[in-house]
Amino acid sequence: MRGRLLAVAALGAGAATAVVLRRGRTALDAPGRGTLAVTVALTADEVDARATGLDDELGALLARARRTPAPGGRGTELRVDDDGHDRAGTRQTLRLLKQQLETGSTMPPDDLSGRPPTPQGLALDAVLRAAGREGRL
Amino acid sequence: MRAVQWTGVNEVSTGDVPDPAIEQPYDAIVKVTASVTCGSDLHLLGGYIPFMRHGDVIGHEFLGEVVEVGPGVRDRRVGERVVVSSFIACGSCWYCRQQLFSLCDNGNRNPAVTETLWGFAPGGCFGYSHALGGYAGSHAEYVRVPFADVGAFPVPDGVEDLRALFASDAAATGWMGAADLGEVGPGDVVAVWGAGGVGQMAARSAQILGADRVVVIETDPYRRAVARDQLGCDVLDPQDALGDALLDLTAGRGPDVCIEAVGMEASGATGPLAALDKVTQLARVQTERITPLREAIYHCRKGGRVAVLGVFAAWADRFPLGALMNKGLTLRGAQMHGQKYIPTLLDLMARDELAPEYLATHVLDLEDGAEAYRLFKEKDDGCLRAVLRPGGV
Repeated sequence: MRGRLLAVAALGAGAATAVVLRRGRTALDAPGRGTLAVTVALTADEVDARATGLDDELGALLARARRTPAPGGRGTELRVDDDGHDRAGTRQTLRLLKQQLETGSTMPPDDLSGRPPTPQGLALDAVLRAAGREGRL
Repeated sequence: MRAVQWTGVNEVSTGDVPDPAIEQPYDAIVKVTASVTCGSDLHLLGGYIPFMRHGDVIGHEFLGEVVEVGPGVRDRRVGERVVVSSFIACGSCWYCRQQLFSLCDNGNRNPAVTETLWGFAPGGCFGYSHALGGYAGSHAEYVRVPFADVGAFPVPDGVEDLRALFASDAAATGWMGAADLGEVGPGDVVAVWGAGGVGQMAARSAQILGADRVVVIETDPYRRAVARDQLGCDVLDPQDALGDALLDLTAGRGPDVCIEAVGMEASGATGPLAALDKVTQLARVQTERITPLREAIYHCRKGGRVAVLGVFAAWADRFPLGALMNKGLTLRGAQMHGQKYIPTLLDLMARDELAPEYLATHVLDLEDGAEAYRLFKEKDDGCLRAVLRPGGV
């Protein structure tokens, strides 16, 4: 019985998180919010050196980004204007760009395809489908 | 391959899963030789961290042999016996450069979940839910280790498996709590709440760092006895006039450093606050039961340091902010930065100064994953930690 209660409670928490994420997207994706930005732990010269190895999509995003030195020797700030189209997709690409520049590889959200459909699992699947495209970036 | 999987709230079983493969150039595949249950796993099993998916492989504290490396791996070699940090870190981002590896910008593949919950995403962790990256865990025959040059460390000859194993997480967490968060030094009196693996490693670390006296506070009499006998610590039952005992022990000053090593499912506490915690946690009005943390803050001396090592998920009620502020305490917490501590810990282990193998009270075959967690959760048969060994005990 306790297990069932916990399962229901866990489902509720999972669903609530999905709602929170959804609300977050609405607020974050409001038109005119401005820019999406990341800081990469590389100097401008290092960014240039690594840009040559980027694929077309990441290279195009880097070309769009405004670069400024980050304070305290923290690297380079990359800012991309919100052009009003596919802000979530831009966010995901910006995450991947930072990963590729800093580590030399990308780590896109994990794939849960093929898992059995469970109530909590379905809610979690929805959250994870948005896990790279949403958030506070 | 075979692996221990989470299949529902309070349900685990050993089943078949696909073999891991090199996915990124900096990956290694490690053949697991020992993987141990951790108290934080119980939060996953119980559904308190609702980001588990049916079939997820659990386990994050492990040791094994490198059997394959990606083309970008430079330092690790096939055949090496390695202990692996439970937290996954890239080694390149700003946080990793500060040696704050568990805060890695690039280790968590699902950043939106924890960005939304906590403001920013920490790094990833093996087998610790999709909130921390959704990586397959180590209770398996094989595990993929991302950024292997950063997170996998060769074990010195002469350090046995069941000793080195705990450098992966429990010893690293305890060391962090004493050395970095608590800044323990000679002359300090250190109080540690919780005599599980992490608490005992925090206590031992404080001794190594020169603490004048270490007291372990634990509700379970067996665990108190282990801490006393194995480490030579003072031990106290928190329900037995704890405040008076700590004042007596410190001649009225209070402990200089208080380390919480219990986490969100503190058990054994009594009284109206503890009862309210239990009800509100079950109803998900709050996610934590924090009696030990309240006690740590209350009993810490003025100007003292409180380190939070237990795992918490979201929010807690009736947090003693007044005591924290008015006594001028420093409160710090973190998931452990294993990549920073493991070399030091392996060196201490090689010199027999740190010998945590006594924590491995039960060693079972991987096929006995469910029994391992039953023993561990129920503290049955004096279980401190249950170790799973793929391929047989």
